[in-house]
Amino acid sequence: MKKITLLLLLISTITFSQKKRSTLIGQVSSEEVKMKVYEKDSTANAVVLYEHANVYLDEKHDLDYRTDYYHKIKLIRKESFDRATVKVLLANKERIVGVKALSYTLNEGGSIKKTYVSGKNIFKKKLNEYWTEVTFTIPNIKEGSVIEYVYSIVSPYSSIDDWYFQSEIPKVKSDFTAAILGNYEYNVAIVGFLTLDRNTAKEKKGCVYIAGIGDGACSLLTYGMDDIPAFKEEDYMLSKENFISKITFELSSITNTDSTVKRFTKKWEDADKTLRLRLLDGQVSKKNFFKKQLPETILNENSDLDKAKKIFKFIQNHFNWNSKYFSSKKINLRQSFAEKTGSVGVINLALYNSLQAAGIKSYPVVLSTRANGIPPDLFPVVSIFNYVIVKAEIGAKTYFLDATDKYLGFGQVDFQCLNGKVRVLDFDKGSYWEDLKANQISSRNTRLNLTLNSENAFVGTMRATSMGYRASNKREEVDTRSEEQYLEKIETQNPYLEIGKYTIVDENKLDKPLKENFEVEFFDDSAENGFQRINPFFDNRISENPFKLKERNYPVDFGVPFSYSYLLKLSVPSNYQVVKIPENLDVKLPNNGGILMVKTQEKDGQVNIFMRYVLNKREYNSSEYQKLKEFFNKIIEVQNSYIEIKPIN
Amino acid sequence: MKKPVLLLLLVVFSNSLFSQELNVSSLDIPQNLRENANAVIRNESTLVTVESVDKMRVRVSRTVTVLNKLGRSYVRAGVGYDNDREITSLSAEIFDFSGERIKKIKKKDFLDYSGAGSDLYTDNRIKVLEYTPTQYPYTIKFEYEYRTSTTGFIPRWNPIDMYYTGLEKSTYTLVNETPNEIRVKEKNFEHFLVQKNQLSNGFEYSLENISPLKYESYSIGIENLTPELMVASSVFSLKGVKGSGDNWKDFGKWMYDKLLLGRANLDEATKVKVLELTKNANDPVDKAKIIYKYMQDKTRYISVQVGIGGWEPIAANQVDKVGYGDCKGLTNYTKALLDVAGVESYYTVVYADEQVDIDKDFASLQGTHVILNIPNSGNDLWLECTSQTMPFGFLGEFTDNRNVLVVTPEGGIIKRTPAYLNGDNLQVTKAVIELDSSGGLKAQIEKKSEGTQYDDSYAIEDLSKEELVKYYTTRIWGYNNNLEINSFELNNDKEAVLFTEKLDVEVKEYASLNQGEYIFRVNVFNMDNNVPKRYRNRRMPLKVSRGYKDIDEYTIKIPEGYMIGILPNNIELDTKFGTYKASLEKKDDTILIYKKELLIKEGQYPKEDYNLYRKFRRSIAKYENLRIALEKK
Repeated sequence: MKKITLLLLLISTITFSQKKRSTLIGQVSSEEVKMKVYEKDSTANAVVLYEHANVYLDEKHDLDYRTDYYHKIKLIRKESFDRATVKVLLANKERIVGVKALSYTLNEGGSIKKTYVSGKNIFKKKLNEYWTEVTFTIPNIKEGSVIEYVYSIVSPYSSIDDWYFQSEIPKVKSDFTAAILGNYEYNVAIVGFLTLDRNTAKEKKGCVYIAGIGDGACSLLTYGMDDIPAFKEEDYMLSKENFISKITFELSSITNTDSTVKRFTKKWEDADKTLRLRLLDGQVSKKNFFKKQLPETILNENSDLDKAKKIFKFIQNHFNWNSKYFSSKKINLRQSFAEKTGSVGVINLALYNSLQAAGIKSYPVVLSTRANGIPPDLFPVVSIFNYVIVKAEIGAKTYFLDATDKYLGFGQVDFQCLNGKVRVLDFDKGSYWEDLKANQISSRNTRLNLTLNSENAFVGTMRATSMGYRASNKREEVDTRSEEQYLEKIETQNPYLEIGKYTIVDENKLDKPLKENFEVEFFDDSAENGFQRINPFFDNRISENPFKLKERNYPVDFGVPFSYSYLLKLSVPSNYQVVKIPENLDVKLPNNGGILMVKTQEKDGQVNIFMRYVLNKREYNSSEYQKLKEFFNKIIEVQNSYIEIKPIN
Repeated sequence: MKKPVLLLLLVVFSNSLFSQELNVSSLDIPQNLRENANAVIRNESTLVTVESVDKMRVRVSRTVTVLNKLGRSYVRAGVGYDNDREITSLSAEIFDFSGERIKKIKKKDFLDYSGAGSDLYTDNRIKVLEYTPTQYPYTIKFEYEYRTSTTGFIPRWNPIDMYYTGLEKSTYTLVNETPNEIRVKEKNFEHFLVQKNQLSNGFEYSLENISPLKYESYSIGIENLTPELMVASSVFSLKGVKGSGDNWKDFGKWMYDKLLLGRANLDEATKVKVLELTKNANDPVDKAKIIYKYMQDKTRYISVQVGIGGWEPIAANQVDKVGYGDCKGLTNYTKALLDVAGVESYYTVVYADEQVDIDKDFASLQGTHVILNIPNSGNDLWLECTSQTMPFGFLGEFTDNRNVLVVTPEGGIIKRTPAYLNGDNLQVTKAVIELDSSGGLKAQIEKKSEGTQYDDSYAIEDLSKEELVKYYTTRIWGYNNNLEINSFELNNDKEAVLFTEKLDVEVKEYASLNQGEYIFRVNVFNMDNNVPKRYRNRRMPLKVSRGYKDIDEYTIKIPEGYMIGILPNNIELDTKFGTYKASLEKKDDTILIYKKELLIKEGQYPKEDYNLYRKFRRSIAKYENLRIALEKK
């Protein structure tokens, strides 16, 4: 949670004329307790009967932001009993007040028993230096119970938490209301495919009285939805945050009593300032420090591209990523440089400053990761950005750089960054959106040469070349396992394969493809009378279709295109004959989405099998889903096919 | 349990070239400790001082050289504390490969976390070092001291408790300043040169220069191979509660008197209810079944661990009121309900999950879980009280086949829980399959599971329809790519501990049609193609846990226009690890019968057998994949 100080409310004698909405317990009817299933979704384990969040300034608590939460949930089956255990996270300086919780359970006689949570069973534990968790569990739960609970959070921060209309269980009704001071302006975004049933914004005059100044106005906001279906997550889907129905608030400006305006995200120029302050922590002008740290030889390079590449390598080698995107503490690049460790923010800001020091045209770039969701483009939002990279312009070319991961090449960014558009921060001309794509396709290219020897084993070599994310993932895998473990893993995936000598080429040349050479022996130990039936597709085997669902609601997102090619050259001795080889095949996905091709030939004891498939697109929409699913089935079918060989009598 | 033969595993250096002085340079680590190591414990020393029955001081110094990225998790620079355990000093130092100090970390710089995992609440907290390495190798020296009033838990000594870790030196010293006897038990010391010194008021153990152990699948765990010293005081204190006992009888008596007695009371209304529920049952087992069901329907598992609450159950009337509790609370509650109905039962302490015994010869605070024992006149019954779905009397893999401590008013008794072995763990699959001429198939399947196979499957009845479809299409039949579930029916017979699944499925494009041939895999619904990993050099004995048996029988109707050609011979493999039989038989011109029976036996074998077992499983995998071709008429 980002802290924004309340600038306005220095005066303590302010009164709210807006009547505080209370969230009282006791709103459960006996019909609700007696209800057996939720008719609109009979598969639901539980259903939210009603929930409501109400935000206002609380005069009892120094006019801090207060949010009252009310929840009423029907627990239909025991799998939903976890919902009776409630966890509330509090940031530092936030308080929880007015916790009340109870269950309504039907007795055998037909009467309803209410059981409350007692105060001593409400636990508070400090999770770490930033967060405290309040937990309680509602007693006396049975299938069919209704639970009801209320609590309020009082917060000194003027940010408003997202409100999720949709969740994994369906809801009958969900409301969000707020009374926001007229001089506070928020950008409000509705995310998801569902439409609001209630959506009003009213100006209320005389909502606030501030002593010595006079009446102030409020915006009364009401948003609500009814009959909300459950949200179902799917595989290979971008963050559910892009699809689930919710409402988000971004503080855009505050008008002070003297009519001056403090703008945070009203326009991009305000947002740029806020970003610079919050995300970059003012650490964008340290180029003199980095000039002193960079080796002379780098700064003396002639070509800008060589210089940039060497700077990138230097920072990538120097820093060790601490697994965090951002530190919650103040960024101090000098200290981090001395300690050689840092967050993504620290490392890539060090890279930015170093490029600046070398006179290379570069910009910090902020983005939201795949898991975090796509930033809205209706109005500036700063709170969604959670990752910093660097854009460099060298000659006519643009490079996006990420020095955090030890296995990424120059121009490659962490896979999590491939989430569409990113915001480039140009401090002179203002920020702008740019589409971030992988700098190269991910691919694997395998060449296999086998000969059938006199012991009925297929022996030979396999050479595999990986590029793009295939290469960086492979490099990480090879680096974090022993060779023995690595080879054993490959052999475990195929019990008929044994690997002899293994060599790796260009393991540390991150800008080059990664090449691996294997000596392989492949055998069929149940072959009878010399009849051999082998499946040669043991490399990059897809054994199961990743898509099992009949239908799909959300796009499939692979992040980056992928291509695979495989060539087998098999020599069979003259006393053998080839009985069968896989068939030729040519399959195309619509909209130039991909191809699958198999070409085989057999001549004079020489079998050649060429297989190639390409997934051209990053994203496939739900109308392309069936074809994509079939495409994977075809690949599996090809990889399941055999070569049959028998001796000539 | 057989004792593992380990001599070959261990390279023990007797002449120590390395003096006591702590060396933090990574350059001096002997080759035999580095090889196959991710980290090397350079020096670990534990000093336990028992000052009085309720005063103990523990001082630990641990110096670890981390050789590579994988070694980071071996540092274990963390220490727990709670209301009864106070950390009095805590620090760490980091050294680079040459032994030069690069960082010093003070107590206040350690991260502080709540220790609650799945607990609703616990007073356990942990202080952990957060350090991002800047190079490898590096060395961390981590030191702490804590004081506690609990002498019921004297730290154990496990000098080698991780794989891929070399050990330069580990020392454990205990100083006993009290007149009370402190007992020890030495486990797995046979193949290790453990040094042992008697001190005037205590003892000292040490172990040096042990090469790393490599992890291997299908083997007994490291805890059964390496030395462990168990330590206990005969008179002790547990979070303020005094105790004594140097044998299980006395120890159990103490547990009963101090932790259980008086906590099994129930309100009158509940007693009346229990009597009402059980009034028509005469047999104690029938009464117990009714009560177990009542308890399961009424309660759920919620864990709150504060102070002595980690050992003492919440009172039964409390559980009765709120309808939840942890394993202790729910077991004690069930016992209280059974008491009302006049059914004898006892609170029983066990190690859950991993098969670990309560040590039958060494009385001390042991175990991680609690279940309920019903003696049933010599015919022991066991109840797992934290599950709302387990059948009466069924334990499953969570607590099967291990020594447990049964706590009776007269004292503790060690008993063994039942084992589920080999044919007990049975799965029978019958299917009627109809192939169509386009290559698709339709099938009606009936699958019955018992024993651990029941345990593995019965929980699916709680899944939603969508989750179930996903379970079948990805987990069970992921190898059948176009499988669709048309309908299903699940039946959980808790009385017989038998789970039945009836399904109606279809698979499109199952067979491949090729040059007039119709080729398909005959084992449609139970491919067991799990082949153990190949080890270039297997070191540990082979261990197969529990065992199982699968029987399959499929009636396959072939498509119109095709005929059955020559069928493959019957297959029969008979090894000491188990048996495999598969056969295909022509019933008439259109019907084939496929039968398969696989038995894998529980057992432990010398390491030389590993490759034989692998070969057996590989042959099975091959036959499981058997395809036949039908010819066009």
